[in-house]
Amino acid sequence: MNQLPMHEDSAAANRFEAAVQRLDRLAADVTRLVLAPPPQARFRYRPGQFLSLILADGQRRSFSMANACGIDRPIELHIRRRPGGRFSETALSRLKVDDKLTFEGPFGQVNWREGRGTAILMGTGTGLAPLKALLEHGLAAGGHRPIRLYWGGRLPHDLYLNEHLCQLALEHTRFSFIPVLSMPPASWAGRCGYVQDAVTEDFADLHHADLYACGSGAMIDAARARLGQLPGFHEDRFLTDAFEPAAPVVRSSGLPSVQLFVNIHGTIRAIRGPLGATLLSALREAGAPILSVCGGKASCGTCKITVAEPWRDRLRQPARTERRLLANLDDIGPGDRLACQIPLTQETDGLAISLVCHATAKWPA
Amino acid sequence: MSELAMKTDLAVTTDLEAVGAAFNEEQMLFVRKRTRDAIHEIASRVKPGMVEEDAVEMAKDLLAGLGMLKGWHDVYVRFGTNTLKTFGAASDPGVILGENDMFFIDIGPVWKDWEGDGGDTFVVGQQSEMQRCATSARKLFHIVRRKWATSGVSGKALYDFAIVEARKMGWELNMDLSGHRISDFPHEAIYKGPLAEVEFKPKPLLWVLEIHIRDPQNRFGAFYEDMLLADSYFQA
Repeated sequence: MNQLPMHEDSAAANRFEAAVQRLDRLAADVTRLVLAPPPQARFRYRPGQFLSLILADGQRRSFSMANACGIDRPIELHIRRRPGGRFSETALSRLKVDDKLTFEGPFGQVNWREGRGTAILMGTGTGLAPLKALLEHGLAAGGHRPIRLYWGGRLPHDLYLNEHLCQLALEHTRFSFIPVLSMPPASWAGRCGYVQDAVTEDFADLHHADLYACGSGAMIDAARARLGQLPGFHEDRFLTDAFEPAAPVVRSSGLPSVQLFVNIHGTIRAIRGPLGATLLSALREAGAPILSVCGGKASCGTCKITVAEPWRDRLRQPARTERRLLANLDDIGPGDRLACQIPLTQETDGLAISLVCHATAKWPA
Repeated sequence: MSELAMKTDLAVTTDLEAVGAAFNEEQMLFVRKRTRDAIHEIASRVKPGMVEEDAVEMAKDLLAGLGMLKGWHDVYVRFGTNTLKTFGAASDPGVILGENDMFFIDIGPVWKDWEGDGGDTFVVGQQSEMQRCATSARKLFHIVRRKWATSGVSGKALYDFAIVEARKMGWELNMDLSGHRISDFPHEAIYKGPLAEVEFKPKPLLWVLEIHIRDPQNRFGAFYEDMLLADSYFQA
């Protein structure tokens, strides 16, 4: 997890100071940062949640806890070095044991869900961190519930905790670990492709299954698109944690992007969307809980959003197709628009909106 | 347990035939009637010389007037060779309905909490092969529906049967349009897959049967779609 924090939550969240207990190089570009339990108060969190480190200049960098919470347990974070990253490259390289770090949290809505069906955890890269915390919690909770972890990377060295997870699978018969490589060497005997493909190969039906997907927004979108085709897939049981570089100016696609501020029931998150995409696709890539039953055809109205007041006159006004559908929907208020009909242009940089479609809508952690 | 053993076949009816909290049989039938009426109202306004895009706009305006524009899928009015297109495919632009031509309508309106879905094909002027195709789509719909009503066959077996029957009539069945659930909106929260893949006998009122047949020479196609219901619901 490495995304902009949820500003609204910040006010309510607790602030802690903790000492660096260990720094381990897990892979060439992944460091395990272990923080001692904060001395001033117990830092309680649910598996799948994240914290925000406060940098010296006040900026924040968010990371998921990679272990389950416990009394006097240290806090484990997995940090991927990003070229030019203010924390992951510059500050982390100077960090030493016993250094003090300030953080706020916990944040995030991902949580272990009790159930009888298989818990399917899937992730790529350091998306493993929240999954590992969920896994530890799930195994500690006991019972017979099967847990399957699909962890993807390009090459074998991307799977930086492979041996640890293989060992866990040997120790727990109800836990299966499935490493998946998208660029496997000839010697690789494991699964090939992408995690969502491996899950689709293994499950013809997702009834009773709880899905957790952690990784890039693109991976989560691909997983949602792929797994959404399977019978039994339910958005409410597809819990996601999309992480994006903290301050991208150019997305991985190479396209310039704009910043968007998205409010879900008082929790505002800043996301970025590529120029030329629709607001709907940017929201979905960011993991926002927004439906699109008709697939962006301005037919179903499920992607209705509310544009913040200052932006209502600045946006290009809706075309006839959108106006006609809006007029046919119930509960239309000022500023309501269809996200599938709003293209992202330079003029939309900084656009502020609220998701209003579902009372239960919330941000993924 | 082997990974293959974990795969659940689609023989379990319980979940795939679930309904949402707002499901109501009378309202489903009411929306069905409104949907069929809307299809015929749209068809009555389609005239030779119209461009397909204008017909789609006309259909949407009409549905908006009925309070039925919100739909779980887009509104389709397909002219001429565009009747070969499968669900969701973009039409070739600018197709004009000829004096002797055919078109089909496919709408999936949501009225209040309930989904409708229906389709039918219409022929203008004199074109006997097109007329035969349109008539075949309706006939095949009822042949397959009666097979469903009088036997215990599964959704999969119904479409296997439909393929054979279509060929007997001289048409190819498009299996990309092979039935689906219908419910209180949105049915896709329950099951968004095709009826042709379920391995149990589908219950009435919960599924739509889609028949899209195409001319083997790829000149035109015809579409008919309605709920899976007993004979009594189809008497004039």
